[in-house]
Amino acid sequence: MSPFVIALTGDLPYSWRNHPARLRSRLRRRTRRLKARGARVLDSSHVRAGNPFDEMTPKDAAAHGASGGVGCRLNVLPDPILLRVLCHLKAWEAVRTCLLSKRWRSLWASAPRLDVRQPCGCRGGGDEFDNYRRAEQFAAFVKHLLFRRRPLLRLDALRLCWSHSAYDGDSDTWITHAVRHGAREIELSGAHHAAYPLPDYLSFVPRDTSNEMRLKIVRLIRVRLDGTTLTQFCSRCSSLEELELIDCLIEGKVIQSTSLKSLSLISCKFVDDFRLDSSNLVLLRCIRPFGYIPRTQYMKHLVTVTIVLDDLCLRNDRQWPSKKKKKEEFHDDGDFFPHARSEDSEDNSLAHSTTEESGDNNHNESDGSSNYYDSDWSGPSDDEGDDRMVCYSLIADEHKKKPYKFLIDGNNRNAGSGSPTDDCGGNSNFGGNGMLCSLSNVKTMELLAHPGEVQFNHLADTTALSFVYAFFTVDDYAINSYGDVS
Amino acid sequence: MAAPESGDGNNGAARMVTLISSDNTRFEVEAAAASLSQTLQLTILDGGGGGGDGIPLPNVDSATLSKVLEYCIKHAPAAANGGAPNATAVDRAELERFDNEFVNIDQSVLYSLIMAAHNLEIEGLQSLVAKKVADMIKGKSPMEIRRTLGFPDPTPEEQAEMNAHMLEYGWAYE
Repeated sequence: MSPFVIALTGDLPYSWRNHPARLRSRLRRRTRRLKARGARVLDSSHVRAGNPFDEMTPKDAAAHGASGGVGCRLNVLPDPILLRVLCHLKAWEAVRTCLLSKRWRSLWASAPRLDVRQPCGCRGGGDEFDNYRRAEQFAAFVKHLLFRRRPLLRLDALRLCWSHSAYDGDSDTWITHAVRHGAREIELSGAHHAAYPLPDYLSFVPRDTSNEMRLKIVRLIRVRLDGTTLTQFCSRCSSLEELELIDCLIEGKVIQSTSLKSLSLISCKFVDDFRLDSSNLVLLRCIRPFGYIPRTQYMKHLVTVTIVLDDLCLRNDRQWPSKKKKKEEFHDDGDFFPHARSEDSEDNSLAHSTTEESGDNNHNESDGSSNYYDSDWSGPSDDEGDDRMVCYSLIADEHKKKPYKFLIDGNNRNAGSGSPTDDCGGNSNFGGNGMLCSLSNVKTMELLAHPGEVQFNHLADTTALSFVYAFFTVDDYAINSYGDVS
Repeated sequence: MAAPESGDGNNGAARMVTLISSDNTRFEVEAAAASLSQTLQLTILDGGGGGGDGIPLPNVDSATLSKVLEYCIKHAPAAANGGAPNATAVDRAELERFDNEFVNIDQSVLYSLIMAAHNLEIEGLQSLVAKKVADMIKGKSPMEIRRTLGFPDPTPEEQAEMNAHMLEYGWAYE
């Protein structure tokens, strides 16, 4: 009884599966499939066989034969190598590679570093409709690109430009995507957008709290950061180590972060009370702030500071000298020279946007009001904390009459000690004297300035101070046009 | 094959290691240079490769290996400086010039090099060569890319695909 049952249960599916009719249809299907495959092979081999013949008659048969082998070699390289190659390409260059072979088709979107910077057309003039159409096409392209990425593959870095096809320029969506895929580095540029776009801080924060924060480096170019955005962004991105703000409109009052190690503020516009509260900073660069100078807290880990101030960029408010405080506790830097720069006075409006790249020294000698200075202090950090708060003030009215002679208008207040150096520079102080004499705790200093721009009246008073003066004329123009001034 | 005082690699006269390519050619280089390769680094730290016994590299032929070592030797001092923070601009410019010339080579050599750099895990060389390949792709039309990289001419169906693709991403080809 039972064997029969077993045989039945064992037999029935078996025979059913192997029913001649099924087998026949399966066989038919398989042959059809094989035929199809065989035919395709035949086709391609035929084509490939045809090629050499075709090419025997044309000129470069041999050359092509050899290079064909090379192409195949490229094609068999392992994925990591090819992805590395794709890292160096912008997205719209990478997309062309998917025409190379099937393999590349799945590869091109998966590069760990994506560069999708397509400048927004709205600032460059041109047909508005056309710009909009392009922006839309581009947005569709990026969406497509992000969809095509291999799942579970990390996206390390994303660089993108704001474009205004959608209300958020799509960038928030893309940044969210990048953050969710573990991006370490994000760059967002609004440089070509007419208005200063305001990024959404939430897009920088992983929605899912179980996701670890991997975001370490953020560069924002020409965006607006209002109070909420700035505060939330800094406090929520708990892994952020490097922040670079270029040409930004900073409306927030504070950058407060404990994780931040390197902060660059280049040509940013600040509001009056702006302060830096990032006690773990190691590197600080504040190049040519507009409007007001950021106040800094005591930062004990600070090693490198580069500050370039420009009279012409700063507001001539009477009230601010008392508020500007800078502290120095700088070690060696040496990299401020590339950042020293000058510009002509017309160029100093907020709209100015061209020179923040690459530390150029393009002087405009025509108007001769070039100025710079920047100070770099290297000194053993015998910390005295708050004593070494120094204030900078800039005069803005006098340089018009004496275009070459302005400098950091030191207007210092020794916040901690209320020392007599307090009055060594008035509001109209000129030539950075006040600033210099407030550096009395600094042992060595390097100062970059034009000859004749700094007078060292107060240096004699500062005891225990051995300045290293380095007057660098930053380029030949400077010498030529300012030599007579000194 | 006098490996001078391999010692413990403690500075001294630079410690030498021997690398053996797939065709049994022996290369003797400073340990510091060979250590640019992550793959070799541990072996070298363990004291391997010194004396008579070299480190066999069955994946790399002698022509490629000599090229790789040329790179390593050039870049070793800078790497030893820890990314060369105090390297002068001149040094850097010199390295850059060297790099540019270094990758100015035949494609087949380039691919051997890329493979070797990958296997030996030489970070700098990997990105250098990858960049070179990327440069060959940059700013070219798909057909030009195929030619440059030595892919065979597209079959008719591939051609049709290409056309469809270019229609879809038309703006990317402008």
